[in-house]
Amino acid sequence: MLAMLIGLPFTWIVAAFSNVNSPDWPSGFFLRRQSLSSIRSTASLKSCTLVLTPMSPLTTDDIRKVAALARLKVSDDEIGRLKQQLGEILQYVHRLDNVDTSGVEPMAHAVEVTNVFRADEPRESLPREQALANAPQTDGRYFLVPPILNDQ
Amino acid sequence: MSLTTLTTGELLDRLDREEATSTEVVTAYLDRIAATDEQVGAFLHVDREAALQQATEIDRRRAAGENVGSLAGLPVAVKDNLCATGTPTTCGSRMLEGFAPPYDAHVIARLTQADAVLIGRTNLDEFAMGSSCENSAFQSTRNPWDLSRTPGGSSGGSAAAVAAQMAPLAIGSDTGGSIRQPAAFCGVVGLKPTYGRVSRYGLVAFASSLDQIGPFASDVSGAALLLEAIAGHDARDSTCIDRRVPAYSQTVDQPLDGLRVGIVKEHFAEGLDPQVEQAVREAVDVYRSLGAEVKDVALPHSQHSVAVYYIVAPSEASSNLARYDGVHYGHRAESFDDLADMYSVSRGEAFGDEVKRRIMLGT
Repeated sequence: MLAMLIGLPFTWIVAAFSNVNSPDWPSGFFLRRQSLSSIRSTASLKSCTLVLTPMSPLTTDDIRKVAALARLKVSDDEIGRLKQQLGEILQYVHRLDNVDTSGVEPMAHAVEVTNVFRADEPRESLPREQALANAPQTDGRYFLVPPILNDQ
Repeated sequence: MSLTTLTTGELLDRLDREEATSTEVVTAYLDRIAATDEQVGAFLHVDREAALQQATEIDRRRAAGENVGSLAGLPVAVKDNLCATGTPTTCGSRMLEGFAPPYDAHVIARLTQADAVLIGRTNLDEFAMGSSCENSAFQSTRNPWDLSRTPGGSSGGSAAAVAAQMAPLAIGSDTGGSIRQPAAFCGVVGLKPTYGRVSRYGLVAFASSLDQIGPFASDVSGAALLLEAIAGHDARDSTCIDRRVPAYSQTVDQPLDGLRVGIVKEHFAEGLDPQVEQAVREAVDVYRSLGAEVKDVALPHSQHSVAVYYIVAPSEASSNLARYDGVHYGHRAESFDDLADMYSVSRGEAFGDEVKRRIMLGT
């Protein structure tokens, strides 16, 4: 879904982020929000080179595509609900289009931080037995998964 | 007077003066849980025997004159999204039902070093996504002050446990208000530390650039003591800040002279409940009376914070929750077509609505 927002300038996202004090979402939020302006992406989700222009709401195909990308099996009922709920959230997020961040310094952290490195040396890792202990299926040595390629 | 009505400081005094043993303190809280939690629903998992065993060991060491940690013998409840070796860690999700981590989170190790007694695991909105404790796959937690109301969330189990005197101290995590909001709803002290103050190693990740672990307590001194125990550098979390940890518990009673408190005028906007505003204004008066300088400040962009959160948090959640693939741990569906379908069906079956919504939004 948020791939649709990639066309937005990054600087204002960071500028607004520096003031984040947001609540975790109220659970009833999705049903209370009314449509603001109707906006969506013109490009396909696959390309990830998206530009925002005002258009019609999310389609069932959009939801199916994102669910497939997220590896989530969703029922037809869920698709209907998600279409409405996610559409409303995206419209709400689009209010950020109106923020003027020209001349605002990007900021990502309240404390000055630098990248952290460590020596690339072998270290002790989790014993195999413990690593496998929570797996749904193993042969005692490896994680087992269903066939990746179907027999042709 | 029952031990469970005492503050952390009062409990420590009694333990230090040998007027109470850890076994007595822990028993009192376990009994309180047994009598109260059926109504409140704060705990997902309590191991009475393991808690009493820890308490007995600390009593033995104290009696033998050995050095004991800063939280020696005190019960601490822990939100069920922190890994502890061999202890169920469900994150309130069917996805992790039956999962028992093979290692300790940094905060769990620090609590153990401080000789705290880990009394139980508290309920949360699934994967810490929510603000009411109604999005747990297992149970809803109720507000101990009024069982018809929510304790808030996502750390609602920890907040309710402290409010109902089922634990003097509790650990929560806060991504977008998940400690602060339930603390307010339950009338207890809760703090989201500055990002990087506490190591996130072993905290089940939701939105890594926002997640932070913090304390709950019935008073400020207790929260200061707990934060002091869990804060500090840990190389296993590369975002953890390497700075000295002040002795919060030693300075907490000092006057607030020289401290400036900013009151964000945008937070007193339309939609604010008059009773809430009054309570906040009264708290501001308390800060002022303790010597703090109170100043009005403007954060004109704060109106956009929720919209920004909707971008940052779901994007990171989508990435973080991609690890639940039904292969290494967590739920695997019984019936599916092939590998890709196994991923989709397993995730579709085991994630709740709110988690699915956020993964979709961030994908």
